[in-house]
Amino acid sequence: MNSHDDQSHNPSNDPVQNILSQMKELAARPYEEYRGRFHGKGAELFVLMLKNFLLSVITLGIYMAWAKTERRKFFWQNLEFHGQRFQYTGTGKELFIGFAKVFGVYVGFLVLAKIARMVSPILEGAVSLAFGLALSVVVPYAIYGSQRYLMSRTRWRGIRFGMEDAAGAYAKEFILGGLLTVLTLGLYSPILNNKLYGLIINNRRLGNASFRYDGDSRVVFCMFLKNLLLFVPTLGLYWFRYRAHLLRYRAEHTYLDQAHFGIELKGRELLGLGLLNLFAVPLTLGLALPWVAIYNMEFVINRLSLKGQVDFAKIEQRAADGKALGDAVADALDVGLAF
Amino acid sequence: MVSMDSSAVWNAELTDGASAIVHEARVLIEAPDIVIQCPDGKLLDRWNLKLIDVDRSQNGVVLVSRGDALLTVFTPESAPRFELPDRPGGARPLAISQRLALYGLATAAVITVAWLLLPTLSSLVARRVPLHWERALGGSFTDLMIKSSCGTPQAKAALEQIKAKLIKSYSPKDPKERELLQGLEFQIHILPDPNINAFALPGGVILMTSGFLKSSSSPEEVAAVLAHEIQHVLQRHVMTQLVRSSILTFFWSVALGDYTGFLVVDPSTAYQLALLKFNREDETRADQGAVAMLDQAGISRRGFKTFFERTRTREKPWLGMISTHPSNAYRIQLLEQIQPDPRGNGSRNSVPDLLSVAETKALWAPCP
Repeated sequence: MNSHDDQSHNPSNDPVQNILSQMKELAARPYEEYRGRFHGKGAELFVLMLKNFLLSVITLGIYMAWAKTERRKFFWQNLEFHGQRFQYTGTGKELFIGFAKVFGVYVGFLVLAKIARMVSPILEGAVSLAFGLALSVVVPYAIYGSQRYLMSRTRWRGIRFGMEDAAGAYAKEFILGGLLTVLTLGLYSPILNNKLYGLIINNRRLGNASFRYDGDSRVVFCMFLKNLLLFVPTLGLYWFRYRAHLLRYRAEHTYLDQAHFGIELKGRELLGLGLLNLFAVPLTLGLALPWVAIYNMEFVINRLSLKGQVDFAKIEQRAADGKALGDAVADALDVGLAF
Repeated sequence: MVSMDSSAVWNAELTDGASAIVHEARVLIEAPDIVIQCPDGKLLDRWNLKLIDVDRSQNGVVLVSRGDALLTVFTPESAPRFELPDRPGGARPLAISQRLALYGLATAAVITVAWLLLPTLSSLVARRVPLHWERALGGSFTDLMIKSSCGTPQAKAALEQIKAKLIKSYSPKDPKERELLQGLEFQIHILPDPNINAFALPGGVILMTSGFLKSSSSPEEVAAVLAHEIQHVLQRHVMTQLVRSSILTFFWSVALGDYTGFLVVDPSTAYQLALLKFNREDETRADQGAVAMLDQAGISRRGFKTFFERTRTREKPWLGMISTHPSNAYRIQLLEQIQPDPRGNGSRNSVPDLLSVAETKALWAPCP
């Protein structure tokens, strides 16, 4: 039986020796670069979208949960990394239950507001204010919950991705950082985004292997300041260069095991992509959407790599986590991922 | 569902679900199992067909899973098709062109049926909207309008007088219209806008621009336009438009699913063009109702005709197809086809003037 990542070493009773010999082996291995590839075709996605539209309309929207699942399966299972396809194991049923719960809460609010209106306008105002405040707190939980759900339903080589339960920490950073951003008239925003990105990545894992992000907020802030100064003189064009630089920096400081990610991206390439997204879809009345979506996917995957040494043999399965409710709330508040 | 060739062997990769180690393997089908072997033929595992999940082929690969374990079966075009024994009710998967044709035709059929049913459905729903809902909507619009409207007390009083004369003597045949006429409080607001226009909103809120009032040639003209807008409310055109927009918006959002991040298209342009036919019919019916209203109030139809003739010169011929209103020439023609003006040939008003000279002057200077 052949395996790609078989590690044969002599067992030893001394744990320190074991670790040292493993490190020697890893160091002796050649530097690797792992890349991905996307196999999906625009025509296939177009047919899928057509089917999803048809069934969603006929079922007055009920099928949307299954449509979303089918769409994710298409993107996940056509995505290959280091020779293996990703799997999406979420189901339409669990998404639908999540949507139903969110819908139920919303209907509950409407009923409460109507009752409050009958009592007094002041009470109605208080109910609306309370709901608005509650929503602003729910948003970061929904963002984190959505990511957690997606990770728990994503597998590679049969190993589940996952995220630690750190929604509270994420929400705290989000809310306090948001207030600070307002107070500093937006100057805190790059630091906040850097911290939030770090929280997501540092809590993400593939089986028992953790991801890690060590990007420095000061570096990110300097990039932001440079963009602020050059934005107007370049009529906004410098923003694409800034964005490409930021994405490269984030990738290079994101790690899996001993390897770090990388993305080969230039500002002018981002500009081209932005223009394509802006014009291709409206000019074709939406018909080009599947091909544009595929192009966006290929654009990212063809430029992304994982460089360094990853001991895939040591990656083991962990228990599942994440509920579809987070995804449903994120969807309702329009703060989820585009998938 | 994938096809069956009992002698075929496929290359595959197996992960056991406990670690990320990938094992090269060969796969063959020996019902009731999938047989997984090492490349040298040594048996690795057997998976019962009833206990596995198969994900549809994604470009040369079929994913077969049992619990956490995953078998990636490679199915390039040169290899035999990877198929499992047909289960009851199973069917061969369609080719992409066949699926495109099937879903494309079905979508076209659904859109056609929806297109045909939409006006009727919208109208049915609109007619069942309770009066107090429409009143509440009108209240919300009024709150908004108060902030942006203008109007001298004299101009507003003149408009109220015209409105009262129109409503007092009007007796619609439709009981639903009678209910609305009695239940709604029609409110007229003047918008400080130089363009010549008038609008009806749900709940009996009617807007007239200062440009229209200033340029009107007579109070009868204002009465004609006011009657036309009141008819839009009574005939539930406004509510029907709202319902229609809501239904289309709902279907649009259903169609989009989660693609809002990619989407830039504004749907209102696309379906506004599609709705023009309905708007033109509504405009014609509103013209007919307005004429009946003017006749019953004893107000000359001349105002209607002078308004169309006056604004005819502003029409751009090339806008004909895409305008929401029938052309003024067409509307003048329709006016002449309606039963004769009860006041004779309509060339002179044979009843006392609708407004006094002072009131008419106030109408022509509506905003300070």
